[in-house]
Amino acid sequence: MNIYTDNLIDNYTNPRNYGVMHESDTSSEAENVSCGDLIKMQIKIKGGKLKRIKFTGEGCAVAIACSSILTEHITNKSIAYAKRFSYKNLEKIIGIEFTSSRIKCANLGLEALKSSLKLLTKKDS
Amino acid sequence: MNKHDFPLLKNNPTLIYLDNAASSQKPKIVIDAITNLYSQNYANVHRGNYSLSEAITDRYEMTREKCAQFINSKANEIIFTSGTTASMNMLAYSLGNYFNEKAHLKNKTIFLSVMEHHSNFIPWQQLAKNLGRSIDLIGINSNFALDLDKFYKDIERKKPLIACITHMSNVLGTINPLQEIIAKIRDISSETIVIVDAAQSIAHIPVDVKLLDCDALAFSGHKIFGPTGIGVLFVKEKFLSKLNPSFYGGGMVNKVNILDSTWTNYPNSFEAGTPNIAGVIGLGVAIEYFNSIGHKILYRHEEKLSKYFLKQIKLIDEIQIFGPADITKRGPVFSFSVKGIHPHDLSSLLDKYNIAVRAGHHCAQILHRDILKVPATTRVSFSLYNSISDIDKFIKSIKLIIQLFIKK
Repeated sequence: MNIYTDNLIDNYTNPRNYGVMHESDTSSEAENVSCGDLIKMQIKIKGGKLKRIKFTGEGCAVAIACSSILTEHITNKSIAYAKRFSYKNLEKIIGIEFTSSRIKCANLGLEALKSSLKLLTKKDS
Repeated sequence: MNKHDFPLLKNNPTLIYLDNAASSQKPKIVIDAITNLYSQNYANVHRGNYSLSEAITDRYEMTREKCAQFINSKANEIIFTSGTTASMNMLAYSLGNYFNEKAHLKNKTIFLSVMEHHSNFIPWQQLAKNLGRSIDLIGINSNFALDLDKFYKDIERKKPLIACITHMSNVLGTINPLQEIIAKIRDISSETIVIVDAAQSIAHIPVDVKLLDCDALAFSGHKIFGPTGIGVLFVKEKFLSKLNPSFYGGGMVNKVNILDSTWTNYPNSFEAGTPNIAGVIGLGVAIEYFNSIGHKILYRHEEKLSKYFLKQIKLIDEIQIFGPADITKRGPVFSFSVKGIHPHDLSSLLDKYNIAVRAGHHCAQILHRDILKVPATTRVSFSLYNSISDIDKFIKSIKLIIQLFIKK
């Protein structure tokens, strides 16, 4: 299976929601130590929804593109939906089944998103 | 060259295998030797007084002899381990016990080069930590060679306990002039124990422990056409005779009493438990195969490939090579970055062209992060069975991949 689809390359070279926001409600990062890739996510919450998401980082096309597609999909969704959202869901949206050596890359943005949401829960409690 | 000796390459005729620094493919005679052993000659070694066991014990010990000849040591200086990593860990463990009894050496440090593979870095880092010693690094210069002027000045002052240096970097391809370096260490700091990682060099250049004059050296069988799970730890007899075994169990004891025991002679005292018999036999055949080709012919072939590779890769503007430009100072291992393309993407895309290369930090995080200042590189490494046409296909593919990323 070719993972380097036009959509993936496009989301790598023109990542959506890439950048930093000054005021976020929660943020976190995820790192792939085996290659030094790092994705940082910031989230602004409004009315129980993920109103704005921004990410920055360094990584391979898979890590960047999957983060980009993830942020596009998850913006304006409820916190409960984001918490339920799994790696399998992400693969379905992207339409690619990644091989074992690339799952870590594809999941990096989602990992950062999940740990941001965990921090949010802690803050609330 | 000799591609037909390797069943995997015959069965995958379009595969271009360029990950030899990680592990080499296996020739048919090695595979056959292991199959024949298990189907015709197998028994445990050093245990039975029946003919099957005696015969396999003889072959096992003859392989020790073969390994000794291969690196110009004595047979009783060869310890079979599961590989370079096990060799280094085992030695570090034994040395830890040795130094615990040597209180007068308390303040001395351990020197490690920045180009060490984790397996010749972490065991010594942890030993230093456990013994309460500090670590000093041997840096590299702009030619990707060790900064020896600084190193010699440093050891003049510090007279280190141990110095660990690789014979050839698994990332940069740099071959360190160890004969000269160790002679200088002996001059400046005669008590320093010098430990050499020959995991890469063993596959490309002659390794002669007498010429090198190192105290210990390790290599793995799987990088020289042998099976996985077998390696060698060489320890100079003068030094080995002072060390206590690292592991206890069957086959390494003399007399076992309730409160204490005595050990059999080295090197068997360092091989507790049933060893990797098939691995040892396979390694012996791999060494025979290696010798049947000979270092000279292998070196000439790999030199030709390296020259051609460097010439072709320099024509691609987007590529930056990390390693010596001087072909006489390096082996056929090349790590590089491609502008705008992450190593993981590059290796995944090369895989689509059936080209196997390595991407990552190649078990050298410190070198990548602190020295080269890149999180990861892509690595290409050659062996006997690679050809100029492999390089042509690699170059053609990499150009197509660059186009794919740059066009968008």
